[in-house]
Amino acid sequence: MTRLIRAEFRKLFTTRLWLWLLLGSIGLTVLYASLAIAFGDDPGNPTPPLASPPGQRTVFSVGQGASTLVAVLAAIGLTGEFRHRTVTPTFLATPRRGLVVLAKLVTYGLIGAAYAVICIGATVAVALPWLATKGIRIDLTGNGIPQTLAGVVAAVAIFGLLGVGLGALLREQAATVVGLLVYLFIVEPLVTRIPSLSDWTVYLPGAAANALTQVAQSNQHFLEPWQGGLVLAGYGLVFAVAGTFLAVRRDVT
Amino acid sequence: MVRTKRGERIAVSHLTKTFGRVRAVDDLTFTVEPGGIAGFLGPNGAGKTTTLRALLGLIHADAGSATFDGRPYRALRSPNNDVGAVLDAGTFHPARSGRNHLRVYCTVNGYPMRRADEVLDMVGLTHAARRAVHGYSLGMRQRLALATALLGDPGVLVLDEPANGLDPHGIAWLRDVLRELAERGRTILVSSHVLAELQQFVDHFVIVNEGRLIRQGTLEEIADAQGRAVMVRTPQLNEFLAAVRQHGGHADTTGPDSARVRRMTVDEVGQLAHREAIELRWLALEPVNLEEIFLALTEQPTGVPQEVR
Repeated sequence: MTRLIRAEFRKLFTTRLWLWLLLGSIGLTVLYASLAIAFGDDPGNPTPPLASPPGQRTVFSVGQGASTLVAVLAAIGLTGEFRHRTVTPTFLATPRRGLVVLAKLVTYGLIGAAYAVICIGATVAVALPWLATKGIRIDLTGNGIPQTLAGVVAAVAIFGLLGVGLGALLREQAATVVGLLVYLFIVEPLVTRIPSLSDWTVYLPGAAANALTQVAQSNQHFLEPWQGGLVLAGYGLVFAVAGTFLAVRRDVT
Repeated sequence: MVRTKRGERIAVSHLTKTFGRVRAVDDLTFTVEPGGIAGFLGPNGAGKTTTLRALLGLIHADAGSATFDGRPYRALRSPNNDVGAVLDAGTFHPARSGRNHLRVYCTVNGYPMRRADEVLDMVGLTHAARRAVHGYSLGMRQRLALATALLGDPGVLVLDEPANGLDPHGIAWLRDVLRELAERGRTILVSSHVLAELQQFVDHFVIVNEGRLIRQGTLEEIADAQGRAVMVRTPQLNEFLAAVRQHGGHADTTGPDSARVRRMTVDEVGQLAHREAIELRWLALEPVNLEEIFLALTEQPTGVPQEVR
């Protein structure tokens, strides 16, 4: 199993996609952090004031912006095998196909965690000096910030699982990536705005990730962090298991 | 360069696979013994690729089995050590270099990284090792595919149309590589729809059509089973033709003093001529023409894969 995981890392690092998506993740994180700080205290903004602990947690949760790109990276990592037909030598080397999916789950979970740590670094680099100019001193060990940062790492890592799982289920690269982006940027934001569905929308992946990182918004409520983590991991694993049994085991012609 | 290693015996038994309404492989049975090169021959759409992919555990057969020394591919503990396969020349990530492609499978199998460079050298790709595969020609991709198959120094090689895209030099090179591997005890099964590629270096033929076994054996065995014609030259052609017909044979004139006789052996023709006092100037078995046999064996009135009834 460790060989399979190391081979997945080798596949990932012998092409350049990981680098572009890492730079993209850092860029998104810096953008979200800047927006959160610049407009965080505007009247009418649903986020709590920056001086308050929930407001600070929201600022430090922006590293989860990496989650979308990690999910895309993971989805491409799986569906790319089918697109480039490397799935043939991959399954010839490892006929137990479930192990290949498992190795990818572990790999992209670890990659997600690593991206999250780097994006947290970017958040801290932007937020600490900027908030200091607003007279807000941040204690990174207090106000629930460590839990939020741990939540960011967990959320981004689990989005890696989600990408692998969805990729395994759909196999088709363009469909998986487009579906993922359309869902996360259009479908879920729209659905969560329907008040009568709010009992249900808390269980959607994006909302579950927000729960995990303790984002606070006055117009939306979330699950407990641990519930959010479980819900999110559940999606990843259900997709991966369903994908393994329904799609990955199909004939490779 | 190649060490001696006895390969496993390939046994395909009553293999059947249906895609939708098309029966791609229909109750196919054949074996390939170690230390020889078996040619898997059939027209396009005969079920060759489906058979090889079922043999390698990539597709699930509906019935029957395909094994290496009795074990199905999926039961092999580290299959790359036992079986190397070239299924198509397009199984590479275009942005990855040939060397890194091989290193991925070194990592999966726990081989040392230098093994990638060794097989690149064996297939003559050292100069392109660090280039991305998207810049490779089809022939180079075939070589890289073969390098991938050779990575684990397997006892069995399964090659699907490995000569596609190779130039005449490449084909000659491939023939030499496979010859050497077979002499060192490997089991080699190589498919092709191009007869000329195979005729020169294959020991044993498995001919399929419409998913079914048509014939298997050496070229001579297959030709004999087809009934080979006898070639004759005689100054008394008309008398000879009449004698053959009387004897129940079938003769065609092939020249002013020559004929081709069917449904009679060389001995029978010789005895007949002797008895009838007909002078023969030449008497020989028709040379084996694989292409003719192949075309005769795989005649397809429609050319469309057969549908399940």
